[in-house]
Amino acid sequence: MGEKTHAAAVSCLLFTSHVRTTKISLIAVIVALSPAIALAQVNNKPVADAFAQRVKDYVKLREGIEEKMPKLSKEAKPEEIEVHKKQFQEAVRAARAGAKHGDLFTPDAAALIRAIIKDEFKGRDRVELRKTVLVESEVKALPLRVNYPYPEVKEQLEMPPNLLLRLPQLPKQIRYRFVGRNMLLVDRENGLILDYMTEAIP
Amino acid sequence: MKRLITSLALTILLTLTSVSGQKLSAPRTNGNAPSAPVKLTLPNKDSSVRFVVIGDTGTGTGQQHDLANVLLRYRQAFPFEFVLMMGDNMYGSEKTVDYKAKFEDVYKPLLDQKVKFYASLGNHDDSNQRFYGYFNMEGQEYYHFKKGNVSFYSLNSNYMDKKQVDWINEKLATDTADWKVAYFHHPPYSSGGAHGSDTRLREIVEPIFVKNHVNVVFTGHEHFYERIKPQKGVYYFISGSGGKLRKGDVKKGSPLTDKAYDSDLSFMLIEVAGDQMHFQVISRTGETVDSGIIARSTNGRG
Repeated sequence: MGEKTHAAAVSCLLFTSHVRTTKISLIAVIVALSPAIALAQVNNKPVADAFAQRVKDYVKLREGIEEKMPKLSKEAKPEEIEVHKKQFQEAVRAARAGAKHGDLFTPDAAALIRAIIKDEFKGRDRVELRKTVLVESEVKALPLRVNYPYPEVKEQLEMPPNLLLRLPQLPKQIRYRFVGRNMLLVDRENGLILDYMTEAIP
Repeated sequence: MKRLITSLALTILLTLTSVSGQKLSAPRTNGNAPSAPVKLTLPNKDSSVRFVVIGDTGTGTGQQHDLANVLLRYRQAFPFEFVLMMGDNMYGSEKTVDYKAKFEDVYKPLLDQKVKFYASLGNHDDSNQRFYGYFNMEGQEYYHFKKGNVSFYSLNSNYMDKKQVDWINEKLATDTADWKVAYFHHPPYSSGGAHGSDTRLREIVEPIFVKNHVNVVFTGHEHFYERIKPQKGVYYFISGSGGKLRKGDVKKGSPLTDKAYDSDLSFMLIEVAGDQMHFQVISRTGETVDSGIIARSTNGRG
């Protein structure tokens, strides 16, 4: 997006120098750059770094818990998988008893992510994404509760790969997930919803 | 031009070897389907790599059992060594009883015969399935294994993040196997009415497949069988009706379709013999609904 808007802005400048209508050119440049400015306002390293650190802190906590549990073998039986998941869930829930909405997706981090999604999905792409999450998905809505498990029986909607390549990278234990227009952070092993942000998809 | 002629020739070959008739009528029985006699179109050589492709199985229904019974009967004639699972291995709950009802009970005779299952994850699968011994995922959501001259890449299309993309690129770049096969849940190309092609996934994986000479891609998600016309030299198959069926979902006249079957459940038998990959698609009633041969060209492209 950055390159496209920049190119649009440059085109506008060339156009205005040619016709010498300074007033029009100024408006055109502002219009062309407005999405970039919106993203630039939140697309700063401190916000992304702070978000990464909060996620890292969670991973440290859950790794500490998992290390004390019996290790799940690569040839596990179903009952071992079930017990492990349940115990892991309960232990992490207890350790994060005070966790609340917005702990990880702080307002500035949420704004950064919303801006990336808005920038990645425009026009027809956005229509398609909205159709995927609001029409085709089997999970259009869920009670959003931090520190509660994502319902095991519910579908886990595929995350758009292009978006994953642009969003702040997560440790392997943590996943972004869409439910309706909301975005969740979920632990892939214990299935807990770590945090969520509403209206992630414009 | 040369590639176009090769592609055209292969298409004709595949068409000629296909069973006539786009769709067969579905049986009315439920949990006790009539079954046609076993009839192989594959060379069935001991030296070949022989396996099965099946997807979207995890229902535990009578139909899934029916299809598993047909699969078992075919194994007596065609002793495949392993099964590739295209994901949605477990619909709904994933408790111990579900593993039993939706997988172990259904395929018990095959498991008893030491047939190995290599799973990939679908949008209905919990990540913890990767620890399940019978799925042979070695604790990984995406992994690689080799059988004879064939290299297999089981990918996680639910979450194609940078780590996975880097892994695929690195792994394929050094892979010298004659055949490179990728399999995962979401189809980059599909004529399905309910889902259709996963174009966002395609944007990411297709350039990697083309660059690294992946020959064949197997997927599921769509609850039918479809053989896609070769795309940029890569053969795409959808085999997502191992336990669920979306009857009549393939768009008629789709420019992507070489062959489709959406009237009943099905699985694929595959045999790689040297530079040829033979395939035969069997329905729940035991009828062959598609078959053909893919020839591997000397430049590594099928």
